[in-house]
Amino acid sequence: MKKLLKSIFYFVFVMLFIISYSFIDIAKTTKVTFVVSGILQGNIVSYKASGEPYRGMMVGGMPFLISKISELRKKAQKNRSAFYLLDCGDDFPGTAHSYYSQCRAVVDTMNLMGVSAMLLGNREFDYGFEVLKARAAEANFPILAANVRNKKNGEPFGEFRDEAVFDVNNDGFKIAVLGITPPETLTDSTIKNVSEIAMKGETETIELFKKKAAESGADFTVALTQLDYEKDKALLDLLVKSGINMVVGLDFTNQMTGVRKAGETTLVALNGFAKGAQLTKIEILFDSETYKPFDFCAEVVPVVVNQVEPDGDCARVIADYLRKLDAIMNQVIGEAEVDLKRPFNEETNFGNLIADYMLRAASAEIALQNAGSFRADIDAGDVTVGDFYNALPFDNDIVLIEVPGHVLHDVIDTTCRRERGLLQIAGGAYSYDPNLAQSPDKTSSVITNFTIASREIELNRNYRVATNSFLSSGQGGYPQLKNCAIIECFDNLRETSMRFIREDKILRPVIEGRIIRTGVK
Amino acid sequence: MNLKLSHKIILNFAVVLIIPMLLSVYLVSSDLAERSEREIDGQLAFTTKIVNRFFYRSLNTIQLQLNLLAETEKFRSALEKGEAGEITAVIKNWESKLNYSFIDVYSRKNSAAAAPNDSHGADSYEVFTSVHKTKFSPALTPSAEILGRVARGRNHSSIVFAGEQKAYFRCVIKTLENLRSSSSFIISVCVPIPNDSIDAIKDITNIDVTIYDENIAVLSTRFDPAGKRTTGVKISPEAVAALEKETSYRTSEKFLSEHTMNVYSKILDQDKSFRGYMCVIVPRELFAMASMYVINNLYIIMAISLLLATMSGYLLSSNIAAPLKEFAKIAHITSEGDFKQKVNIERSDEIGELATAFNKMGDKLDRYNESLKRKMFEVTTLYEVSQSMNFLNNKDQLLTIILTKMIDALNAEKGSIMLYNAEECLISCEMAVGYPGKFERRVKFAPGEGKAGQAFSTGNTIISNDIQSDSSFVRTQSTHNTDNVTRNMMCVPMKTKDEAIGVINIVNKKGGEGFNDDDKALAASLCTQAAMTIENARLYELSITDGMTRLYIHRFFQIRLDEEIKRSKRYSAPLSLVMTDIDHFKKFNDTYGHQVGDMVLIKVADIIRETIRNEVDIACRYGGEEFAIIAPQTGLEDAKRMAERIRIAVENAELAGPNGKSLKITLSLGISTYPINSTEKKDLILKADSAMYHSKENGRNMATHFSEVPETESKGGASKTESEGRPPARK
Repeated sequence: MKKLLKSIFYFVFVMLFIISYSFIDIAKTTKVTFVVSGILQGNIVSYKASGEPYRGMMVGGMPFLISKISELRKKAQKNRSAFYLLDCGDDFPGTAHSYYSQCRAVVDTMNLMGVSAMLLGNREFDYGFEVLKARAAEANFPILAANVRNKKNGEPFGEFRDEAVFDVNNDGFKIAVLGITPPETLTDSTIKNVSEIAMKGETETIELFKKKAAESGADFTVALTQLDYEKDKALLDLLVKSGINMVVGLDFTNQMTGVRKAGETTLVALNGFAKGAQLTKIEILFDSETYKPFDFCAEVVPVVVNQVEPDGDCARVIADYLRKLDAIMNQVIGEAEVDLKRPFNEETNFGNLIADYMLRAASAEIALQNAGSFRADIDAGDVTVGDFYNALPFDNDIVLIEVPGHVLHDVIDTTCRRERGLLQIAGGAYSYDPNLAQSPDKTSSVITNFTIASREIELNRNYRVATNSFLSSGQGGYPQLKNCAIIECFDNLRETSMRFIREDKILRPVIEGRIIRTGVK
Repeated sequence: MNLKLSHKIILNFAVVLIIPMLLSVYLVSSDLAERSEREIDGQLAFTTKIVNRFFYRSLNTIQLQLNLLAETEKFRSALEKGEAGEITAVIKNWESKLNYSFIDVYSRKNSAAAAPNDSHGADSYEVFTSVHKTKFSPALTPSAEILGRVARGRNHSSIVFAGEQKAYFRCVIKTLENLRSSSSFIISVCVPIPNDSIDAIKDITNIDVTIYDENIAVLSTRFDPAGKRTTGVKISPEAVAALEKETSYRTSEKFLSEHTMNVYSKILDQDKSFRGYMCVIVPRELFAMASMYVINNLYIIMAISLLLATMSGYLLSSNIAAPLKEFAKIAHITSEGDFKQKVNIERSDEIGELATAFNKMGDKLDRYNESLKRKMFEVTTLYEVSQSMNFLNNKDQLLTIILTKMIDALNAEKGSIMLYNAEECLISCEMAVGYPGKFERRVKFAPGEGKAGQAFSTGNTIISNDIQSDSSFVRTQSTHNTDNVTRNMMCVPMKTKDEAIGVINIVNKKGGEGFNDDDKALAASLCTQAAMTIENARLYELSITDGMTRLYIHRFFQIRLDEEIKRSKRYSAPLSLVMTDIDHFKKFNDTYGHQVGDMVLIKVADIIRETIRNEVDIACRYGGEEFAIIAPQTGLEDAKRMAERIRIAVENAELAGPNGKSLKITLSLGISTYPINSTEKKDLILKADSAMYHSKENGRNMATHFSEVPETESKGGASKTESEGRPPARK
């Protein structure tokens, strides 16, 4: 008995020693690991990477991403480091899985990720604000949007939060995270999707955050953004000047492998093309008394399929969605009598078909559809939803805009001068001679003929142009269209087209000389 | 193995609970395992049946539909016309009813030459017209044998796997023959089996199904983590081999960290011909869940029971074993003789009662032991004291021993003995031990005075434990000394035959306590012993002492001389004997009377006593006016000096005689020395006597050593002695 008591005593003594030692260690430094995810764009399933550095490899996919995050979390716990998963947003829409589940598949799987805070990205609005609000309510993590306000009353939406405050190790060391939704959300999104929201100014947002952070006793402040370090220097400067300790943003150049400093502010970047294939991890060491950061180390964490054991629970959740999606994708919507060829630098039957549908949907005078929207051909025979989705994967809406004749002419001129991607047209036709671009008179147009409803375009009158929301927001290389008045927004281009295919049943589009290239190639 | 009681109790409790629990877990889990196996079997059989039925039902529907379509007037008239274009047009319209991918219409190669029931007709059919909505696979073409069978009137329907892991329902029928052209056609229709058809099974039953053609999975409800259906996977050769013998084959696997049971079976046609394999995949936990709950609960119950058993065992052991252990420990200590240890258990139950009784017993034993010890101590002390006393004749030594022993026995600091002096009618301090400075016999009390006087007069022991505040306490000079304060005191009278002879005062009990009744009893016993010893000593002294001169009597002289000669022999030491006689003593008697004679004797005796070495030399009244002095360890010269000293002292002494006269006394002394003069007692006495007579004859008032006596005289002198041991007749 005495021996037992003795050994218990020694055990307790040793344990006390170890515990006190670990406390001493903790007393010196506090470790916090931030892992940045995001820009999933609906990619819950692994895909073959088309860009560097993982070209040709199977990357991403929620089961692998979650598994990798769990691995990092366990590692952090082993190192006695607090762990926070910050998500840069742009996660919900982007794939068939997202679209046909209205982002449920993404939110359900993200709920397994253990997200500490997610930024509301501009892409989150793609399927409409109602869908977004419904998904936000289902998310088990806070979605931050400090600058998104209700247009009607200027109040924040209940589904989103301005900031999140974490009490590290519950010992009084607090980290406040601010989420700044990209200000261009209002302009880049389809108007109907953002009609209910107003964006607050960044300066005001940051000031309010600083005030709230101070009130909550935060020792370390983080701004979760989608700012591009190369382009959005103004916002970055604003954040650095306001004394935010860490800014999480995006890097599209793939140059910034993780972290750098701007003054006292630490900049952490996630690859802007990550799509679940990459994470950025930063471990910061804080002085435990002052809670000042004094060192950090960062790394880019790849999520490559054959390097990670997938998470079974997530895979099963996804499988359920995939089965349902399969049923949808296998639905036959019509029959193509001819092969539907996607356009590149010429007029194609598929381009004409879609442009015609746009014209039909919007009752416009002319319809323009960018060649880049087409991602695949469709063989003759039964056309399934899957076939059509693969061909037109982008979730753009049909938009009817009012375009002055000269702008329209300018837009066509722009497309004719480009090396790739001619705008597909319906309701009109144009001919061009690329050789004219080489002429001494640089200002002269390469368009040799441009008719609308078989009549020469009138430069000084306005035309009702049907196009997609991507083009109407000035993207795709046609900034001229950004300033054009939107007359009306219609449904999703792909879904509208499928509706027409179901009605028509048989597809037999032809090339009918809407785009004619003249001159010698 | 030596297990302690507490361990045994805990073990007993644990075993009593664990074994039944383990048994119940084993029985329940094996029962549940069996049940769940049966359930799995049933579920799998059911699912297999559903899947099979689904296929048969679909095939039947297609066949029925095809038969109806083939019977339609439009089709029949087109066939009658025998125009491929018209037939194709009709077939194309069947899409809304059949959702087919491919239709082939076969006609007899040479319809005119061959009879309808030609047994070789199998070879004579060729494709008459076709509608292929997508890329056609040759695998979908019915074999000649099938066509032949169909031609003989047996319709055929089956599941066919084409390339690209696609499965089709294929129905092959023969059109009616009563046509005008008297020709018959065979229609083969392939309807794709969409994934969602088996997905429905998964959605309803939550059971995954994979359909294999001869070796590759073509349909599956399963998705790999990369989001692809798990088609294109080869069936395991073991499954194929097993299914050659059995109707089903079961395996377990782990897919995406989920344990599943995979049951393979064959897909057979209506005509029982092999068409592929089917694998039904069931998550194990779907069945194991209920059992697991039960087993888990059992485990929890077992764990709790074990905990409770251990706890109750522990409680019981701490309730019984721990006190027993305490008892054992204390009993062991008690057995060693220490009765002061107590069982420290304060409880109201039986063990508490036992502890109280045990402690009481211990107390009793302790008290008994203490009293025994006390008695033993007293007896030992008494024995020691009496032993010491018995061998002592010297009174002072005796008193010192008595006092020292009593002080020790009573654990006191100091003490004193006071004896009653009948002449003074006072009790005077005869001995003190433990007091600083030289002891002086000056403290005296009258009976009844002071504590000692009270004790003496009352004959009772007096204890005063707060002596300083006791008014009857009489301070002597020594007690004024601050270093020597008397705190408490016990005065014990010494009594012989109910007569007090003195008091023993024991002062300052050590350890700050006062004297108690035990001390009183012991002191009384000791005092009785001491009184007797002192009385005995007094009586003994009286028996060997001459009443008048207080010198030793003749008999004692003889005994002592014997002893001393023996001692001298033993130690080779000299011994001298001085014989003396008062000169003209008869004259004193005759002139002044016997009273003066007695005074002379007393005076001479006193002078001798004072002159000789105290405690060494032995002075005796040899007889009449003769005295003898034994001087142990005294040689010739020393003896002569001693004799001379005595002679001079007596010569110089003055004795007041009657009428104020001063009487002069002289002595004649004779000395003999052992072994110079003799080694025999008798001879030594004779020789000393002879020397004395020499002194008498040579003028008296002188001391003569026998060695100085002339040879002739000494012999004559010797003859004058009448006999040994008797004093010579007075001259």
